Amino acid sequence: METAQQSAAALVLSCAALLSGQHHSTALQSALVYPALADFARGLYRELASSAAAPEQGTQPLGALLSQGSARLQPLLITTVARLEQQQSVEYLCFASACWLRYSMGFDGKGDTLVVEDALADQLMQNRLERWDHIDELTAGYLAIDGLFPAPLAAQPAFAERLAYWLCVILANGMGTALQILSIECRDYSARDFSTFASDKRTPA
Amino acid sequence: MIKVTVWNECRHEKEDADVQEVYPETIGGCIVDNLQPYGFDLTLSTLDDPAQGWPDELIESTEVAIWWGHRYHDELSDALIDKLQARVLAGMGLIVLHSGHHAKLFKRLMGTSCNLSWREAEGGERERVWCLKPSHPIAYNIPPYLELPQSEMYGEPFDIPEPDELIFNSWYQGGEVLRSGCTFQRGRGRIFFFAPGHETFPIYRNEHIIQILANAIAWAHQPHQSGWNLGNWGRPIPLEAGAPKQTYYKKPRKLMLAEKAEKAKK
Repeated sequence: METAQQSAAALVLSCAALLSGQHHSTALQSALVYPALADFARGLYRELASSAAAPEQGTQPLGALLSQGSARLQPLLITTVARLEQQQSVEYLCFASACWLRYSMGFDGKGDTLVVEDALADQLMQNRLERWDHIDELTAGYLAIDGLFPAPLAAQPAFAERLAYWLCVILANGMGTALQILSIECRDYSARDFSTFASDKRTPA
Repeated sequence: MIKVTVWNECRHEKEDADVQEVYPETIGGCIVDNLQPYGFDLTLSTLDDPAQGWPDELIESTEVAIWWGHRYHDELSDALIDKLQARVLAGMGLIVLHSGHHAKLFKRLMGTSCNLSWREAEGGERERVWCLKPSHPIAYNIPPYLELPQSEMYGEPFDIPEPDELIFNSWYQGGEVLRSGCTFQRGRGRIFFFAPGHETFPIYRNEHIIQILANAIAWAHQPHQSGWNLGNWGRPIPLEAGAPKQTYYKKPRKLMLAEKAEKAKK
């Protein structure tokens, strides 16, 4: 049985996959072979405290996983609130929110239209059209949309700051490079036994 | 096991009887045969193979490429060179042999003409290859110098950028010298140029030469996959609080034009 968290994870991973150049018809499982996307998935599952990759949705085309995102995103946002309260890292969760907001803008990296099927689609689009020219206003506009972000999260400056950061990185670089930046900036660089050196070597399939 | 592709132009072997005599198994074949005992996962490919010897899967899976080419450098498509250059920048090791100094890929990576002086004397001439950095990984198990009784003279001036490291320097019977074993780093990729290897002399049957190639493969292989590729990354938000940040982002051109047209309609 798929959990609401797994459904939310499948949603944001699909957004990332689609915006980093995978086609609508690609299955999420296949898209996850892309190393930076796989890193995002691992980091996200870690923050969601869930080791399972959305098993029931993994084989469906990306396009089938994207509808009603604002509702399906909620479990992920609730986890973000909880982790912030406990002063735990929320980088991957913030990236996930930014990822979905970028998808809600309704165009892909080439400028082709993405049809966003969502109860809040009109408000999201209106915010994008009215506030595109300044990232802080754009982010504040998203946080102010009724029923999108839980009130404790929308009022949390640390969340607003990291959400704006990752949204900026995605908008400035495109999703493919943004995923690589996420992977590099959030990697665990804590001291390791030198024996892991060899396991870092690439082993092509 | 390091995945090594030995790419050999392999036209001399089809066109020239004297080369067939020295290398009946082809130059690439000889290199592959002699490298077998070192335990690499070796693939031999040639210019006349499909995709000029470099199908996409092979480019992706190759960890170190050995390059021997001479007469037909210009036949390689620019699109292929683009892919191979990108793969080197992303970490594929590259060992360029002898006349490969004029290979499109090597010139692209060096950014210079890679011209040098040369002489193909009747019967060849003696080359003495001096090892300048005995502790370098590429010099493992190599004597202070090695003598090649028959070689083609490749001499200075050699129009390459300053090498990162000069491992071997050659002297020729005629008096010329050459920086004959040079290393370069481009992106994540490690490159080793090694001059000995004329097609009509059995240089790739010399055990020291093969040891140098094996050492160079081990050196050119990415030591780890940690870290990042050198991308063109936007850093819209500065690290220092209060420093100015980027607030405006360009839209894809297609979207920009569509929005402009929509506006004009209204």
